[in-house]
This record gives sequence, structure tokens and C-alpha cells, in this order.
Amino acid sequence: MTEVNYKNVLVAEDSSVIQNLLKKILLFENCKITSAKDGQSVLDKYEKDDYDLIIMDFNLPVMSGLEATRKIRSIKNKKGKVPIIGISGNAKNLPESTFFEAGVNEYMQKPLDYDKLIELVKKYTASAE
Amino acid sequence: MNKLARLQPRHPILSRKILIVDDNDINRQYLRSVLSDEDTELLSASNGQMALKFLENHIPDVILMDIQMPEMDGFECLNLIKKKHSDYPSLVFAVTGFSDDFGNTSFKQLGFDELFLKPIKANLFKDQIENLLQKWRKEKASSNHLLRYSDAELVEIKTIKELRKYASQHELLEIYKDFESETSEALKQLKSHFESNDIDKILSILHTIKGNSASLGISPIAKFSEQVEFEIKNSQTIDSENYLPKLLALFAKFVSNYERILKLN
Repeated sequence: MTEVNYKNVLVAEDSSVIQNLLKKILLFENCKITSAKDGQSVLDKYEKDDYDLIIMDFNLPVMSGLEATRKIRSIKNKKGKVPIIGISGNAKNLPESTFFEAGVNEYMQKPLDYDKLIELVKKYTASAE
Repeated sequence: MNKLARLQPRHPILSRKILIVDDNDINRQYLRSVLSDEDTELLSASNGQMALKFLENHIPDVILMDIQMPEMDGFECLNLIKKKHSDYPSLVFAVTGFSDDFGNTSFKQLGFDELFLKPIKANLFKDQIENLLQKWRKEKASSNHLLRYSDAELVEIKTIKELRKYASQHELLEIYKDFESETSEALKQLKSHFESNDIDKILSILHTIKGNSASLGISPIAKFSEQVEFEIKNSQTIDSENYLPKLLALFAKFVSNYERILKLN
């Protein structure tokens, strides 16, 4: 039997609707999803385990996704370089440059384009073995 | 940013479900190939009975009705539709090769919303239908029949098609059920925040509802929450007597229809 090589993806999103939705569609792409519902628990989970990719909503309680992204990027080793796909409904009307300056590799606006998201997930998990 | 422009939905709903009623196979196939795209769901009926059967489960946006058909013709079929569904939110267009089918009576008097003569010109036809549909949706939105939504308006076809690539029908239903339970909880909280006039919490909940419903293609809820979010942000006052009942009514409309709509896919 061939062993399925799962990619570990951390999904930071406070809505369980979007969490479950991403779980279902990313399972299809051989991703194993870990959920985090606020910015602080993203950091906690990220410190404890290794992930191939983070999908981060910016609108998170306790600590915003933007802040969590900055904290991860400030880690000065390999861990600080994990690919991050930022997602936002952009409640505060921030310019897109804010998200890239914080350190996301890609940025997507809600409503989500699922085909595009899957494409990005494939792109960023392809080389991770 | 121009305030009025921002108040408009970001784009009109492009999603549409069209029922084609024609006894001729080639005509049905021709219309299907002309109208087919990612935002469109097409249903085909080869006779009037079959069309009536479809309408027991579907609320399409447009019905394309051939006139000369054996057993039940297009006039009779339309009469039966109007009898059964007095407030049907669909446009019914007559499609016929014979301009004298209608004699001296206008198609409008007979209850049709438009008349198309065969042969149908492929490139024009699609645009004509789209224009009539958008005009009808605008009329519906500005009238008091706000809750007369077609299936494609309640849950957008394109979103369902996209999600169905990655999720089974059962999983899809579960995703929308999650939305139902999370949103019904959020609406309860919203009510109490409206009572205590807590603007920050109201905005935060509206933002989540907007993001979730837009991601699932539930456009009436997404657009309305977006509009309310915008109005509150700009005026810092809340018209809770208007907002909340409308949001609850839209949600109730969604809840009573989504399982039926998703099970058809």
C-alpha cells in the first residue's frame, strides 16, 4: 500500500463555518487541517508542531491575524518562513500592501474563490516533503 | 468613495436557473448550448406535464415556453402554472416559430413577459434574457415583494458548482447546516447587542455573517449585511427596527429553502 503523504495545514479562522468548509475541501487535496480560532492559539500551535502552510484570516479575536503573521515572521529560523495565505473580508478597509508588509505570501478576499485557493494550496505545499 | 455607489451590491446576481419547455429535442439542445455557462443551471422539459413537475421542486428565474406542443400547448401550460403558483417569481417567455400563434392578442395579455420568434439568434438571445432578468430583479427589489426569491438568487449556482467539485452532496449540506446553526446563534447575539446599542459588537457580528454568507453564495444575506454594516459605520446610529426584522426574514427564507435547493444538485 502506498502511504498518503499528508500536508499539515494550520487554518486560523474564528468562524466554524469556514473552518469546516476548508477542512472538507482541503482533505480532497491530501491536507491535514489543524484549526485555530484566535491569533494567540495560532502562535501556540505553530510553536508546538510543524506545518507546511498557514491559512490565516486577519479578523481574529484576542490577537489579529495580521499581528500573528508579524510575530511568526519575526522568528529568526526556518520556522519563520512558513508560507502564509492571508484571507480577509477587509473590515477596516486596509490597503493590500499592509498584508504583504506583515509578511503574507498571498492574499485573498472573501467571498473565497475556491478554485484559486486550491491552486495556491497546491503551489505552496508542492515542494514540502 | 462615493457613498451611493458603495451602497449598491458589488455586482448584480448573475446566477440563474432556466427551464426550457419544448417538445423538439434539437430545439432544446440548441437552447441549452446557447445558454450554458458557469452561472446558469438549465432544466429541460419535453412537454407541459414535465414542466409542471419540475416546478413542484424548482423555482427558476426564467421559463422558456414553446407554444405549439402536442397534448398541452404553451398557453395551457402557462395557465396551469399561474393557477398553481400565483406569486411565482419567474419570468415566462414565449418562444415560437409562428408569429400568428398569438393572432391579434398580445403576448402580454396572455400572460407572457416576452415573445421570442424562432429562429433564435444565439449571440443576441443570451444578452436579451440577461437584460430582462436584471430589469425584473431590480423591479422585485424595489417593490414590496422582497422575499420572492428564485433558487438561483437564494444560493448562487456558481458557488454550488465550485464547491461540488470538492465536496459530496452530503458534505455540501453539512457545510450549509453549519452556517444555519452558527448564524442563528449569531442573530440571537445580534439582537441583544442591538438592545444594548453595542456598535462594535454589532459590526463584528455583521462582518462575520457577511463573510460566511458570501463565501457560500447566499447573496441576499451577504448583500444585506454588507449594506447594514456600511450604514452603521457611516452614521454610527442603528436603525434596529428596520435592520433586524429584515435580516431575520432573509435568514428564515434561506433556512426554509436551502435543503431543497442543495438536494437538487
